[in-house]
Amino acid sequence: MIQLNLLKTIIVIGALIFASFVSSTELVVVVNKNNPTSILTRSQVIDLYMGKYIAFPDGSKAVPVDIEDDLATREKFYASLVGMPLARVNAYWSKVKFSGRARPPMQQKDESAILAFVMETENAIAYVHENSVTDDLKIVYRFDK
Amino acid sequence: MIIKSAFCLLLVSNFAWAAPDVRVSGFGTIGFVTTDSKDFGYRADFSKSGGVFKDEFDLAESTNLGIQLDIIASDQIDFVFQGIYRDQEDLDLGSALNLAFIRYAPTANWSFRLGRTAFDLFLLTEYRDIGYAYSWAHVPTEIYGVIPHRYLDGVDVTYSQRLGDITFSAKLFYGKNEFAVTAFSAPDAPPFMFDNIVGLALDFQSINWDVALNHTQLKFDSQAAHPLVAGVTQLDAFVPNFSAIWPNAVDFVNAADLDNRQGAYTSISGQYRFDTFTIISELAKNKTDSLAIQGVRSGYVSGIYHYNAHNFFTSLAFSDTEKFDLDATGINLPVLGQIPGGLEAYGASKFILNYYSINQTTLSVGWRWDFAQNISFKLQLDHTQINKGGSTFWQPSIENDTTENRTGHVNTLFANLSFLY
Repeated sequence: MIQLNLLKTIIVIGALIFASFVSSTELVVVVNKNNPTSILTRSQVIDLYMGKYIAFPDGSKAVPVDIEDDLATREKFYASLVGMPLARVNAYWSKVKFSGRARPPMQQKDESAILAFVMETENAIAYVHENSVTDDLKIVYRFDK
Repeated sequence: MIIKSAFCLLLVSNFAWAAPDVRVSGFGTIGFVTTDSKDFGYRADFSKSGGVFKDEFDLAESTNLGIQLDIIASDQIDFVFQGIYRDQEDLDLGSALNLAFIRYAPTANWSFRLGRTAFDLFLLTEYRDIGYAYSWAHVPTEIYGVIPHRYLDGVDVTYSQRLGDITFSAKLFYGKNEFAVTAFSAPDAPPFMFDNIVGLALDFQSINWDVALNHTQLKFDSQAAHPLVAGVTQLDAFVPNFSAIWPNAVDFVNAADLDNRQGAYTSISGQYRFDTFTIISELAKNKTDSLAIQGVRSGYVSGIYHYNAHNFFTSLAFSDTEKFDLDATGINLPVLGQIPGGLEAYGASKFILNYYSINQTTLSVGWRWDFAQNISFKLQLDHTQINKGGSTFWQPSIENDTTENRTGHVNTLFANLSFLY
């Protein structure tokens, strides 16, 4: 029984260390590996995520993706991208959305759902932690450190 | 008709696309208003027949609730429907339906919309009812109070393009609309129609700044001045030597008629975002070829300091309306008063001339606290100085009181809870 509890404790501590490692890695912006886009500027990422011009540099339509459940990651992304807290980002989107100009990015529940969606959607674009990026994805933007 | 077309296209689309993505969301504001004036009753805009006076605590002027349905049929076609309750004078489907359009966007550069869209007259017109969208408790009265029209029944086409680090978009729209308009504490608010609306909205946006240019031309559709025109024409025809009593009377009332007259509305606006500070400003000009809606120059400048979830702001807004001085046209009032209907025609002329007269300056200070990601609390104090008889925005305490040259000041306090869902 004592050994079982010890094992559980080790697993919990391991999971916490892993989670801490994951959350401490930098966010990057990724696309499907088959997407012809190789690099984006900050201004282009802002256009995509703020509904100003939702297309890749070659003019093809893009599908930006937000993370739904991980508010800390979403807050970090928008703070890095536009320097605004989520409340101000929501205020911005409320004027764009409820005036009928554009729709906000679609949402996927968590990072695994985002990764799966981008891997199967050639025109998707998303932000994920760098250590989650697989060979099926391509990093197109990194935030300045 | 256009809205019906949008509904028909929606029905057709159900056969064309399987399982469209349907999203429901909404917004609202619970808004409290009070003032310190017995003479000037606050109202949100010209569609409101009520007024808030000293010692009154009002929830109707600023409170609203909206719901929006987005139906995404494909990556090129979607439908948007939005309903708003805002204490409308006549609440029915027509007045509650704020958006109802189909959008076809074949590429990222081009977008076409058909149906009821938001009226893109000035910078904030499209989202004036979305309290959560802006820092203030209300959009500046000096520009937006006079024109309550919210939507456009028609079509628009938008072209968007990146130019270096600047995003440019141009929207051309055409259509018509109507909205309730009232003044002088009259109990009713009849619809005022705009026809043949043609507008162009140009937007330039970069990471830190935005600039927008809006220009709209339209034709007024209103018979409001027809009884006056008919009455004065009859006086001129049947009263001997009437032109000596009221020189050029018929020319004047025809010039004051609104029906089929042209109006032009122009604004330039911009904002700049520093790290913790945003400055936003807009200048607008309204010009018509009717004396009933004389030229208005208006504008505002506002600075907003952002500190974590708190936003502190101050604004200065002004409105200056051209005045046509009827009394300087040589009317012999003592003699006119002896003619049956003479003084009534004179009074009706003054009524029409003053209807859209808004001369005032407002200094505002306020605080917005985003205490949750989708809920904000706002507190705003306005000090308004009303000049040169331009008080029509503010309701008189007596019904149908058209007293001229009301000047003075009023302090108005707003406390709003705005939310998204």
